[in-house]
Amino acid sequence: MSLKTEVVRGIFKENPIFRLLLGMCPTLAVTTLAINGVGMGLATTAVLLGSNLVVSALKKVIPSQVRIPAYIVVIASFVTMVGMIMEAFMYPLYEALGIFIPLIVVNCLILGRAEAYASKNSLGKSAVDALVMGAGFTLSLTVLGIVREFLGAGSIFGLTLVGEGASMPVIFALPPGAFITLGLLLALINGLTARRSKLSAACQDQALAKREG
Amino acid sequence: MQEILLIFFGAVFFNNFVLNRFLGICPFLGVSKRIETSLGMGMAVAFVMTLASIITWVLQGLVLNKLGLEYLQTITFILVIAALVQFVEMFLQKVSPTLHKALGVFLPLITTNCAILGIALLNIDFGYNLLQTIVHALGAALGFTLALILLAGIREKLEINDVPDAFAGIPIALISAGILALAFSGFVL
Amino acid sequence: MNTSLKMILVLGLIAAISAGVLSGINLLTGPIIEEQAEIRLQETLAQVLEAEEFVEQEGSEYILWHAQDNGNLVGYVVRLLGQGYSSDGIDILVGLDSDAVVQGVYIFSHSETPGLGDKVAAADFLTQFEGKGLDDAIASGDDVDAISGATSSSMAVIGSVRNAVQFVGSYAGLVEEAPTIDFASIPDGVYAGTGRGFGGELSVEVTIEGGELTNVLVTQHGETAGISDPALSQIPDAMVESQSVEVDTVSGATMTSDGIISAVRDALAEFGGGEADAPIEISTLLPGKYVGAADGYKGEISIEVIVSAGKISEITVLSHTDTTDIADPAFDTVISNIVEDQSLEVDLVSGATFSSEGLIDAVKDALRSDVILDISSLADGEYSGEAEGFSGDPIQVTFVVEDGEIVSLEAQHSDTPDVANPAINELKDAIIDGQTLEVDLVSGATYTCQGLLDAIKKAIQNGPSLDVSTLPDGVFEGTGAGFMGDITVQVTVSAGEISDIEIVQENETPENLNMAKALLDAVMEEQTLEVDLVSGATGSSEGLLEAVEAALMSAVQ
Repeated sequence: MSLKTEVVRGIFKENPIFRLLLGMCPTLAVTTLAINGVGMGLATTAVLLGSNLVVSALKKVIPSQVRIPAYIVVIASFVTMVGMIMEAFMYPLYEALGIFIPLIVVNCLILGRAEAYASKNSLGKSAVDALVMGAGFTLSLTVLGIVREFLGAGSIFGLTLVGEGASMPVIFALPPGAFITLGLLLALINGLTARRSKLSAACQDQALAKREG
Repeated sequence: MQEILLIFFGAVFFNNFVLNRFLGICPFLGVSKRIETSLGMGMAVAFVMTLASIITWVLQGLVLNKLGLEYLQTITFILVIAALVQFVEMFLQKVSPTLHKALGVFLPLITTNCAILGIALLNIDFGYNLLQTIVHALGAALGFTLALILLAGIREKLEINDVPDAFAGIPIALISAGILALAFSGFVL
Repeated sequence: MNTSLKMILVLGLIAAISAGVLSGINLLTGPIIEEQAEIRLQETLAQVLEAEEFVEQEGSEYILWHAQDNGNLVGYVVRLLGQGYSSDGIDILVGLDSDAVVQGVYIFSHSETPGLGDKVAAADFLTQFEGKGLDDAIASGDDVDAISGATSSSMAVIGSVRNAVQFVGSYAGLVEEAPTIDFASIPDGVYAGTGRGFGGELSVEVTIEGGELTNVLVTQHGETAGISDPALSQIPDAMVESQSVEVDTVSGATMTSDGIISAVRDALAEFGGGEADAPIEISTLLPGKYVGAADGYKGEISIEVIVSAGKISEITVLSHTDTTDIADPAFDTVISNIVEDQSLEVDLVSGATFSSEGLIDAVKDALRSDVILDISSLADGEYSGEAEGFSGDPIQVTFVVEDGEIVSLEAQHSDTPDVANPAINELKDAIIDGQTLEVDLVSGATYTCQGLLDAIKKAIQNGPSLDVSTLPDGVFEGTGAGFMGDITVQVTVSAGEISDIEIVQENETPENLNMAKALLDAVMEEQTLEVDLVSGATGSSEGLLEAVEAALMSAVQ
C-alpha cells in the first residue's frame, strides 16, 4: 500500500474521531483552544508511535493470553514518559491538558491500533500506521479546537480575530458547547459524505477480545 | 458533614462526570440507547468505581507515596483497574450468574472507561481522605448513571421521530447531550 | 516452555523494563520539573510583591514567604485558601510590605462559576486591595466592593486579604499589644462598644459592677449562624471568668472572637491603659543626659538624649535590632528633624515607619524620665531660682558656674534655722564636692533639701544671667509670652552692647505696651536684663523681657 493511501486512510476514511469515534473524552475536553487540541493530538501520536513500535517488535514474544495487559503496560509507560517530558519542557501545555494526559492510556485508539494492526504487522508498517492515525486524530482535534476557540473566544491559536469588546457566545467554550459543536460537525461530515457514523466496533472488539484472552 | 455532602452532590450535579468533566463519554454514547442498559451500566460502573477508588487510594498512600514512586501512578492504576474488572467478572460469574448475565457485557467496556481511571486520579489530585474518596466515587457513579438514563430517555424518544439522516445516531445524541449539559450547568448552590 | 510460566515471565519482564525506563526518565526530568516549579512560584510571588527573592517560612499558620532584597526583609507573601462558592476553595496569594500594607493580590486557582464568580480573578477587582493595611477595615460595603452576583466568591477573597493583613500584622509584631484594662478603676455601669467581626459590625454591652466585669452581652452582629455560635457564647463567659479582656479566640471563629474582644475594648476605651501622652515641653527640660527605650520594628531601640540650654542638642541610638540598612538612615533623618524643629512631632520616614516611631517613642520615654544633670554643660554665669521649701515660703538659691563647675552657692530660706541651715550647708558641700545633684537628702530636713534641689533645677531652667559684653554682634530675634499674646523683638548687639531693641510683633493693649517700653530703655541703659518690671503692665513687661532674653539666648548659641 502506498503512503498516499495510508495518509488518506488515517485522515479521512478511518478518521479516529469523526469516523471511528474514538478518544471522545479528550476530544470534548481539550478542544476549548486550538493549541490545546494540537498539543493533545501530538502527545497522543507520540504515545501511539511508541506503543505501535514496541508491540510490533514484541509481537512474537508476547503470549496471546496476556497480550492485553502487556499492551496496557507498554502504553501506560509511554504515556507516563510523555507526561514527564511535557511537565519538564512544556509546562503550560501540560497544565492545560491536565488530567487528560494520563487518560491517554484509556484512549481506545491506541489499544485498538496495537491490537488490530501493530501486533500483526512489521515495524515499518506499524510506524506508518501510528503516524497517519495520529495525524488524523491531531487534525480533527485541531479543527474542532479552531471552531470552538473562534466561536467561544473570538480567536484562533491565540490570535484575536474579532474586534475589542465583541462578546462571543462563551457557551462554545463550555461543556454544552463541546457536545453541540461536535454533534454539529459530525452531522456536517455525515451530510457531506452521505454516510452515517456508527459507534466504532474497535472499543467493543477489544473488550470482547479481553474476555476471550 | 457539610463537606461530605458537598463532595457527593458536587459529583452528581455541578461537576457531573460526563456532562461537565468529560469522563466516560464512550460508554455514554454507546450504551445510552436504552434506559434498561443504562441502568445496568450505571450499576456496574458504581461498583467498579467505588472498589477501584478504594484500592488505588490505598495503593497510592501505602506504596507509591511511601516509596517515592509517584511517577508509576498511571501504570499502577490502569493495571489495577484492568485486574479489578477481570476479578469482578470472574466473581460475578461464580457467585451470581443472573447478575453476571445482566451486567457482564458491560464490564469489559469499563476498563477503558476513562471515568474509572479519571476518578482514581482525581481522588489523589484533590487530596481526599478515604471517606471522601468513597463518597466522591459514589457520587460520580450516580451522576454518570443519571446522565446516562436521561440521555437514554431522550434517545428512545428520538428513535421514533424523524431525524435528518446526517444527524441520526451519534450527532443528534451529542447535541441532546449538549442541551442536557446546559441544564446541568444551571445547578447552583 | 510452560505457557503459564512464559506468560508470567514475559509480563514480568515487560513490567520490569518499563519501570526501569520510567525511573530513568524520572531521574532526568525530576530535577528539571522541580526547578521549573520553583521558578514559576517565584515569578508568581513577584506578581504580588516586588522583591528579589522569596524564602518560604516553616511552621506558620498560613504558607508564608519572606520577601528579601539583598538579604533584607522587605515584605511578606501569604498564601491562603478562601471558601467561596465552589467547594474547591479559592487559592489566594497576598503580597504585603513590611508594614503589612497590601501590595498585590493574585488568584492562583479557583473553581468558581465561569462568567460570575470567576470575575474575582479579574484585575479590577483585585487592585482595590492595594494599599490597604492594618488600619483599614477591608470589608465589603465599607472600603472594598464585592462583585454583584458573585457574593460568596467576593467575600472569600475579601476575607482572605483581611486575614492576611492581620496575620502579617501580628507575625511582624506590628499590632500593638493591647493595654490591659483595670476593671477595678472603672465606675459601675453599662458601657457600649463596637468592633468588627467576620460578617461586619458587632456591638456589645459591657457591665461593670463593684470593680469587676460582670457581663458581656453581644447586642448586634452579622456573624455566620452556626459557625460563630461558639465564639458568641464562649468569649463573654471567658472574659467574666478570667476578669480580663485578653481571652483566647475560639478556633474556627477567630474573626468573630476578635470582633467581640475589640468591641469590649472599645466599650471601655476611656479607661483602657494607654501611655500618658502628656506633652513634653522641650524648652523647660533640664540640661543633661536622658536615657530611654521603646519598641521599634523588630525589637527595642535604646537611646540617649542630650539636652542643653532648653534644647535637644543630641540624640544617640545606643542599640537596636531593626534592619540596619533601613533603620539607620531613618534614625538619622528623624534625629536631625527633631533637633532642627525642636519638636517630637516630626514625620516618620516612609518604608521605616515603625523604626521611626520607635525612635520617637524612645525619645519620649527618655525625656519623661529623670535627667542625669550635666553640670559641666552649664554655661558660665550666675544662676538664681526659687522653689517651695518646708515652710511654704520659697527657698531662693543663687550659684555661680565657672568652667562647667558650680563654684559657689548661696541659699535664702524661711525654714526653721536650726534644722534648715545645717542641712543646707551639708547639701551645698555635697553638691560642690560631687558636682552633681544626685545627693542624699538630710534626714529631718527633707523638705528643705528637696526645696533647695528644686530651686537649683529651677535656676538652671531659668538659665544664667546674661553677660551682654560677651555677646557677638548681630541682630537677634526672640519671642516671649506677653499679656495678650506673644511678643517678638529684634535686638541689635554691637561691640558687646545692646544698641537697639525693636518690637516686631505684639498683641498687647497700646497703653500697656507704652508703659512696658520704658523697660526697654532701662535694659539698654543698664545693659542688663535685671531691670524692674513696670507696675501696671507686668504682663507686657515680662513678655518683653522674655523676648529680649530669648533673643540674647539665641545670640549665645
